[in-house]
This record gives sequence, structure tokens and C-alpha cells, in this order.
Amino acid sequence: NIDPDSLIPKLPSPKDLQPFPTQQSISYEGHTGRIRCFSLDPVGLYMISGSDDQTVRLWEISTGRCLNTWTFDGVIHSIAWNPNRELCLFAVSVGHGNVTLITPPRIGSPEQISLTDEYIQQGYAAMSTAGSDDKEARNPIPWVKPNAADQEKLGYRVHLSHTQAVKQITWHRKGDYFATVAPDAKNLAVLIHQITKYQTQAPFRKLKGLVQRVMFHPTKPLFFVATQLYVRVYNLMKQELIKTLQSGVKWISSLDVHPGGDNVIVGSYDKRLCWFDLDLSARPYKTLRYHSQAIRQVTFHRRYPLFASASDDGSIQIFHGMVYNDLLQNPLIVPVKILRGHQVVNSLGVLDIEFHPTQPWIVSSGADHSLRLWT
Amino acid sequence: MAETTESEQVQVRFTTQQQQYAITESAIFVPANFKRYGLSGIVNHLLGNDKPIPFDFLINGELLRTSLSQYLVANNVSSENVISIEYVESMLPPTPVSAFQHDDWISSVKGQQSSQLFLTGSYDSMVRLWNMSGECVATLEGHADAVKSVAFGAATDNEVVVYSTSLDQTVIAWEYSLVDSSYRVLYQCKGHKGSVEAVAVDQTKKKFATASADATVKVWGVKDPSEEQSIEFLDIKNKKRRKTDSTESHKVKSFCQTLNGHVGPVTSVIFDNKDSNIVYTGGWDHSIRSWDVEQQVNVTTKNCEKVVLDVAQSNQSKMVATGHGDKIIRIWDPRADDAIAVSMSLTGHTNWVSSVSWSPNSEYTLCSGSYDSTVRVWDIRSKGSLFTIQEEDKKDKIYSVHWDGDKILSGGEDKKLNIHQAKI
Ligand SMILES: [Mg+2]
Repeated sequence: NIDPDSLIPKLPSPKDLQPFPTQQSISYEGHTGRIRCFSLDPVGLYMISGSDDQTVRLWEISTGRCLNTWTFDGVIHSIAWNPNRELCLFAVSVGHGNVTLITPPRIGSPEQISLTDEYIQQGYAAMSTAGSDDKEARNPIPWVKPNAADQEKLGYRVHLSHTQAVKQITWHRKGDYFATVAPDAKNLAVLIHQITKYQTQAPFRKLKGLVQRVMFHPTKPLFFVATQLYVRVYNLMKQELIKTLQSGVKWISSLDVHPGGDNVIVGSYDKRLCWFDLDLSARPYKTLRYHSQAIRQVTFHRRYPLFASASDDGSIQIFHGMVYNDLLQNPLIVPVKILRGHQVVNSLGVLDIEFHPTQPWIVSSGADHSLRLWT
Repeated sequence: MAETTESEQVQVRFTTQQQQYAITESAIFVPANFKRYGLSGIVNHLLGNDKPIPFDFLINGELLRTSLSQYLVANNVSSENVISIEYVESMLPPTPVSAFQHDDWISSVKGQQSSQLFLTGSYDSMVRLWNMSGECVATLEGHADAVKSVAFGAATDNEVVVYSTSLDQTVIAWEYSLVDSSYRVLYQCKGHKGSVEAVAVDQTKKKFATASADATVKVWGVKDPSEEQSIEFLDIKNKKRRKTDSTESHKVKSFCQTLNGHVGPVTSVIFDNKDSNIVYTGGWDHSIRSWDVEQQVNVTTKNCEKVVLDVAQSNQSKMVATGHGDKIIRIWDPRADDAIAVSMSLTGHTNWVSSVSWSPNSEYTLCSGSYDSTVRVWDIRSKGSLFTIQEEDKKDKIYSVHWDGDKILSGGEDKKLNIHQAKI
């Protein structure tokens, strides 16, 4: 008689895999609707959140203080801070297709502000030299300069009018390009915008399937496109399909790429989390089923060997996820903590999560109108 | 070792350094199940006190928090020998004295015994001075954004200098007149490229140091900028209406020494109590650093793998206490070369420890403020906290504490400067 447990390789104990977030430390009070999205600045001092209460709020992370509130006329679908530390800028998607670039007041240094303005001015200049008629003809959607009062008072820099609601905004690491996903916009579902040129491109003439999420590769000119069933990897320079990842799930909800670039996690509405090792296979290296309801978001930590998933079951699962330089050694995946606290409201739980850029902390937002820091 | 029973007696010798409470030093028998209160009764009896004085008891430098027999078992000490017990007058539980209402969250609190004033910084971008009777004697308007830290500078019979730092990335030096309660901006310091999170003034009151989210620490002389450099003038637009001009020109100080080394935001800075050329800092990079100001070099770096939120040094022992994001207070010997020189960890808070402050009168005692909404008083000879100050059902975070003479000041989200009597 062999004890079946003895055949399973022993995983390290969570306490030997510290640090990782273990308890709620700060709650950010103010929103009165679902908080679908938020984003941390690249230093990790401030964060912006977007809610169904039609406001965007700016927070001081370490104190819980709300520093600013913007009121819009639609729900906030997605929000993303520009990753370039020398700039002070974020992009927000509101209502039925409006994407606005905003320089938040109060927090940027004079150097950051002037560099951001220069960046934006460069775009206006590029547009006018190209001849505005010509440019508008080439851009599938218009770039509109906000009025002076909105620029001054609210920090608005540019409006981009999409044809359908934009469900995701994601930046390229250098902060010049960003991609938007408007799943219902047919051949304009995925757009790539360049600030310094005021240019929008539709990189895919024909898209198979409903696009859920996209992401730039952290180091190479590759672009990930997740539809309901597949993740396709494209080379943007060569404009060719490199790889198709077969998730095996019914409906992908979320996607993140490991900072090393060779591993991808995918979350699904059918409760699964798939880890792909791109060097290994086009099928999942591991499929994890820890949540009892749909997964809404998955994310890697940029510095610590951690990843996490957020679910409509109200919990956040924290995993140790170690990627080795040695190509022969498979990634080590160990569940280390379940964070509970969010209330499930109308079958919706935790809607967004993001790790702190420098600390082993995670922020979460939910259908219960709450935004929380776990440390 | 034989277990001590209820009826058992142990032989002890009481000693004290407080000569006014000295009793016989000969060994006496006491019941082994006695705790602090029983022992206190014996000492009071021997002193012949009608009105008992509460005492605390130390064995081998550690405060007794159990019965004698439990202590002996826990520390594997034989009950056959005479046990030497030192006693000290107990600190009384802190009692609330008053609370001064503000309009917004309080980020920083300070007291200054000599001028009989309290100082607060608030998220409404105001710096306020309060007298002992709870009157706000001055509201210093000048910052364009939340005030993050305040400190008292030099004080004479007529004037008090005050420093404040802000999210607006500047530092302002103010002069407040005790004669007519007027104030003026002496100068504004510019150079930081992020929120200025902390300010500290050295013992000589000739310089002050600031710590910023921009990862730098700057040390400034207190002199008027005109004595250091060519003066620039800056218009500070006052948000609130003023009877005089809506804009005022202020001198700008930009000459300073910059201490570079922290990777990420610096949350706290203090000067060494004895040597104004040394500053200690802590930050988000998990390090506690000491710096040589003149040389502008980082002398030592101690790491603890947790975010450092505040640093304080005892003027009695020179030990440094730090508050952290992992709920722990750490005690360090700043002179030790050892990179991991944590002498002690104090645990009890249930959330971030945002602020720490030593008692000015005891080398063993400090207080702390936490996001768990409590202020705690600690004796480093005891493992747990001595006292916990918390208003019922209160959930407000505390951002700042200061042990000023016999008072503990605290402030935070509840918008009140809370003052407790805390005599040692
Ligand atoms: Mg996000």
C-alpha cells in the first residue's frame, strides 16, 4: 500500500515564500458605485480609480486620502496610468467611446508637467504639419483638443472619440503608444494610438472572434490579443501572427504577461486560470481552478514572484509564481493566500486588482464600491 | 525544576534606583503566586504609605507581567535562590485632557514646552498654532496643498519659528509673534520634486532637514536666503481672501545639501540628538540610513524588508525607534555597524505604525500611532504595550504622535488634535 500523498511532489510552505500580502490595511472611501478599474502610478505613490458613479478619483496610496475627483457623464470602464516615470499622464475610458488623456493636478513635478506638455504639443505639431485634412482621413477616429478651461482646470489634454465603448486601455512600456479595446467596434475593436504623432492605427483588418483583452509584450515588438477562446501573439513590425495559444476555457476575461515576457496568465469567466509557458507549448502549462465564480482579473507582480486572480466569488487568490532563468526548469506555482473582505453584490465580486509597483502589496476594487490596499 | 504551588513562597530582594522609595535590601519571603499588584502592596506596606503608590517590577531588566512563579518557570529560574527584583514607580494610564477640532485630517502634530504652544499641519493646507487652553492662535496660510509635516524651530520670548512641508513640493519657514499673534513667511524652500513628507530641526536650531517622495533628503540652513545666495522672489497666490494684496512676494531658498541614496520615497528624517552633522532617514526602500551631512554621504544602511513610515530617537538613550507597514515597531542602535541591528521588535498594533515618539523623560518609554486607530505606550522592557488609547468605535487612522513633556499629542483622520496626560 502506497500512500498516494507521498507521490505528489512536496510544494514549499507559503510561509517560506514571503513576502506576499496578507491583510487589508487601507480602504479608500468615496466612490458610490461599482469600481471597475483603477491604476497605480509607476512610482506607487498615487492611484486613480474609475467607477459606475461616473467619477474618477485620485488617491494618495499610503494615507487613503482622496486628492481629486473628476465627474463625467458616463460610467468609467478602464483607466491606465502612463508607465513613463518622466511623464504625469493617464488615460480614461468613459461611457460610449470617449477616451481622455489627463494630467492630474497637484502631484507631478514641474519637470514632469512640462515634459508631458511637450509630449502632447509634439502631437499637435505633427498633426498640423501633416495637414489636418489628410491626417483626419488617415486616422480612423478623431483626436480632439479640449477647450482651454478644461485643460487648465481638469488637466484634460486630448479626447479620442471611439465608435463603441472602450473596455480596456493598455500602454506600451515607453508611454508613447497605447492600445484600446472596444469589443463591439468590429474592425476598429483594437486600435493603437501614438501620442507624439496624434495617430491612430487599426492594426487588424479582420479580427476573428470577440476581442477581450490586448497587451504589449514587455520587451519585444509583440502584441497579445485575447479573444473568447484564444490568445494570439502578433509581431507588430512584421505584421504577422507568431503564435496562437489554446486556452481550453470557454470565455477569457483577463490576461497578463510576465515581466520576463515568456509566460502568460489568462483568467476566464468559467473560473479557470491558465498559465502558459510560451517556450513550452501553445497549451496551458497549468490550469488552476481555485475560484468558485468567474475570474475578472489576473495580474503579475513586476518585481516579486507573485501573481493573483480576482473573482466574483469575492476573493483574491495570491500565488507564488517563480520563473527561472534556466530554460529546463519549469515555473513553480504555489497558492499562498486567499484575501477575503469584498462583498458580493448582484453576483459581482472583485472587479479589478493590481500589484503595487515596488512593494509586495495588492490593491483591489469591487462591486461593493470599495477600493482596498492589502499588505 | 519543581513546580511552584499556590502556597509556595520565594525569597526576593527588592531594590530601587528611585531613592525616595528605598526600603530594606534584606531578602524577604513573598508568595510565589503574587503578581505586580501583590508585590506593589508589599512595597507600599514596607514604605508605610497610607495612599499606595503603584509600582512596576523588573527581573533581569524585564518588566514582570505574570506571577513570580510563572516567570520562574518561563525563564527556567530556580526558586531556591534569592531573586533580585527592581521596582520603579508605575506610569499612570494616560488620561484624556482635551481635543482641538480641525476642519480636515491632521497629518502632523508637535508641541513645544518652552513656548507653551501646539502645532498642527492639516490636509486643508493650513498650519495652525494652538495655545494650552485650546484656542487656535494662528492659522498660517501659504501652502497650495496639503501640509504633510510640521516642526518648531528657534523660539525667543517674542517669536517662534515654525517649519512646514507640503504636498505642494515646498517647505515654508514661518515666524510667529508671541507679542501680537501676527505671522509672516520668512522664506519658502524650493528644490524637492515631489511631496515633502517630513521635516526635522537640529538641536542647535541652525538647520533643518526635509524628506521627500522624490527619494531625496535635503538639509537647509535657517539663515535668510539673502545671506546665502542671490534672492529670487516668488508669488504665492493665497487661495483664501486676504484684506491686503491677493499676491505676496516671498523669498525663495534653494541652496541646500542634498542626500541621494534612497531608492523610492523617503518618509522620515531626524537629526542625531547630539551631532547635528548626522541625520537618520527611513523610506519605502525598507532602509534606515545614517548620513554625514557635510560630506553628503550615506554612512550606514540598515535593511528590514518592510516599509519605514517614521523614525524617532530617544534623547535619553540615543536608541532609534521606527514604525513600519508590517505593524511592528523596531528599536535600533544607530551606532552599531551591523547591517541587521534590530535590538527589539514591539508588536501589538494591528495595522501600519505611522508615527513613533519617545518619552522625553524615560529611556525606556515611547508612544506610537497607528492606522489601527490606537495610540499605544510602550516600555521596551516589556513585550506588549503598557497602555492603549482608543476612543470607542473609532476607526480613524492616526498619522502623527508626539510625546511633548508630560503630554501625548496625536492627530489623524478624526480631525482632532488629541491631548493625553502621560506622566512618567
Ligand atoms: Mg488596472
